[in-house]
Amino acid sequence: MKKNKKIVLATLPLAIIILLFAFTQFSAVSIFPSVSAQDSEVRVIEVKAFQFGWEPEIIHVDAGEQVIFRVEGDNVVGHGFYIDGRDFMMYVPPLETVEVGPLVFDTPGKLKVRCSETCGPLHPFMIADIIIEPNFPFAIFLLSALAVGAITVVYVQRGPKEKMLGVPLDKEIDLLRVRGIGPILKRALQWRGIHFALIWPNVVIFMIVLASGFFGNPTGNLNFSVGVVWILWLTAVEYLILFAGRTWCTICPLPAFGEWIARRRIYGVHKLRKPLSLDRKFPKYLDNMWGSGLGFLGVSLVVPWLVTRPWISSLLFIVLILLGVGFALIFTRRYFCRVICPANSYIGYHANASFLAVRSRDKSICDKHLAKECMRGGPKGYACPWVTPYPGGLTESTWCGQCYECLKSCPLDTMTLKYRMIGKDIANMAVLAKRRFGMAWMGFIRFNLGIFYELVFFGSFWALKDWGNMGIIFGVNVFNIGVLTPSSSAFMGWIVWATIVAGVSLFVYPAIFYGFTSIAKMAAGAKNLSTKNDVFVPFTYALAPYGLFIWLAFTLNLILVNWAYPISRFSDPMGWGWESSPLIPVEGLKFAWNPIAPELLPYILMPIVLIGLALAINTTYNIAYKLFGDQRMAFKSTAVMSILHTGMGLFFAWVIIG
Amino acid sequence: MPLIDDALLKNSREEMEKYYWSKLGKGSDVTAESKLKPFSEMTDYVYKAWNAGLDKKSETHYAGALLFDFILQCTGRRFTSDVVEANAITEIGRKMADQMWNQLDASKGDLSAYNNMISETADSLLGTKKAKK
Repeated sequence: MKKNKKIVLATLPLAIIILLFAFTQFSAVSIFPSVSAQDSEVRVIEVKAFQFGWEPEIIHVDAGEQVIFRVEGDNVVGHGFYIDGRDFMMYVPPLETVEVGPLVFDTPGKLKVRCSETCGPLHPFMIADIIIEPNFPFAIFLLSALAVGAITVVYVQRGPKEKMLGVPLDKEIDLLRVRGIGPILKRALQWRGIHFALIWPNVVIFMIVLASGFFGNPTGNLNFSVGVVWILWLTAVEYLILFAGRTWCTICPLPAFGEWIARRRIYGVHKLRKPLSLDRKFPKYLDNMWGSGLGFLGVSLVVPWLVTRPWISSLLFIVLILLGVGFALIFTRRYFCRVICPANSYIGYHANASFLAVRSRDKSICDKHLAKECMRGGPKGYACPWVTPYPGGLTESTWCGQCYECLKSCPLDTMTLKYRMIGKDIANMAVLAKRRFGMAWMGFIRFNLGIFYELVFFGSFWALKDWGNMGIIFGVNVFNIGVLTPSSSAFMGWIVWATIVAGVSLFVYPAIFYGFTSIAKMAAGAKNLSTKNDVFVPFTYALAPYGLFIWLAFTLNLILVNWAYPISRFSDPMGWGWESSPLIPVEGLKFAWNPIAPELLPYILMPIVLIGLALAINTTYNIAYKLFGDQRMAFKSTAVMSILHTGMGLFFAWVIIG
Repeated sequence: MPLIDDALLKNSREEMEKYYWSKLGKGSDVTAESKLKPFSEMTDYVYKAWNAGLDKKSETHYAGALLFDFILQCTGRRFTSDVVEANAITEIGRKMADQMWNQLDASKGDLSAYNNMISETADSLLGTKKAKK
């Protein structure tokens, strides 16, 4: 009976969304029956296409209303007129007007108008909204967020100990002891060549990325570097974080060059050769999340350029490789990854919300073991390249790059891969991290940017995109770098963009969060604790799972709509039209742009965010319980924080369907 | 003269007997050479590390781990779950390597002298020569 309750509780958020979705679909048919062209007046809506937006950017229609879109073409380039879920893509030539319709929109909600003809760097994000009134799915989404927030608060009110949404946190699967696959996986991970074997194909892909970025088609979605990195890789990494922790770091080629040079070995352990590195210790005051976190934010300030201009992408990678080599030659081990790499900042942060982690089977054995090869290195493995103070005592994944050197070097076979419930270690690490403000701000940056990117890239607000893009309509490779010079007014627009991105992530949301933390502490009656020094940072750790799920939603949107771009680039990485060449027998790899279920996207994305919301509230409770040591106090503070978390869920609902 | 002091020699002999030689069995293929293989590999490494001018502390730790790794290999194992065994072997290895390093410092890396000392130490370890009091 108790088990059944848990299952009901765990599946409730999903069930609510599915039921509500079904309701919107079927009720729409009965409430707003289709009308034929004869018995209804046809409304003509004038739409203007331009790089990279539509005017108007939000179109309101009534459910059941007949509509003809009169689409006026651009005076520069042709566009394509596509509406989510409709089986047409109408080409709109330059300086011409085409009519689309009559169309009837039966189902209330929100659909996107997208450009279906590559028209420039921001083409994949040339989007307008069609809101079909009455937009009651939006109200239902709001109610579902409120319901999930309320249900989770009621759940934690019952005082679950060491559990996450009903799943005990002490249950773990030792992956290397799973019958059948375990020993094979163990052998593979303990084989010294595994790292190189995994990185090498990536190095080859990376070289193609660099070549296509510098010399390939200047339009992003027609170029391997942009398509593969910023659509395929970005999505894959988020899902890898959830299911496989920091597996990307295992196979990342960026630090590999520096590491190979510094070790003077590709994969063997050779202790007798002095490393080709000055082996300096990195300054302790800089050894934190601030460097890579602010690096991630810095990259975000130019993200509309970065993800649409191949040249910019390749330039970033070259800079990162050179930094990796430079750091490896000066500092001991992988400080480049720890303190510089922008991807490490978020992969490390969210890895704490992953199902997978490298941990010791029995910390007491590691504690007793004097040699500690995981720290010092041994005949079979190097000392932890990530400079983790003591891998045998790992309780967080922030600084573990899953390089598996500890698995190789440990003669006691205590290090393993554990599969466990999300949030297993978060509460413990949060209460110990009262002054780790770098981690807190990493959480703010990631969480806010996830929602902001959904709003900017898949929203209809052209001005936001244009500010970030500095008004430039050209793609760039190494031959036409000059076109990236913005006008002074466009540069001012970028200043506005940068102010929004940095301001919201660094100041506005942290201030709101601080306010809620302060009220939560007061509600809990924890007078002996200080908000700033004891409560604020620990509570931000709830953003580790929440932010991850926001990004899972955002990147799923990205890949479902744009999957054809990266896949097609495997047969024509430079974007030079090789698929059409008789010399290249890869015709089959060219896919026309064809989004997968775009009309259902809000119904796919919202449940993901609601799971994140439930995890955030439960994580807050677990942290609060560790912090205050009292169930009532923990519940009261969680109830306050859940208002903020639910509020952000409501905001996300507005972004995708409001 | 042996490279290492009597107390450490005695301790090393006991630990080697307990965790290594006793596991080799008593067949005819168990030779003095096979009994001393991990020790020889370690001494070889210590000389090379000293010659390469590496850091004494980290290399003597490594030598201890190396001794244990060779013992695991020679007894057909990849790992052990016995932390007491791991500690005992790596500690005697580390201490022996530390004293060898000191001798190398003193003799300024004279290889023939080092080899002589190694051979005497090996004899003492096996008990084929009475250790100096």
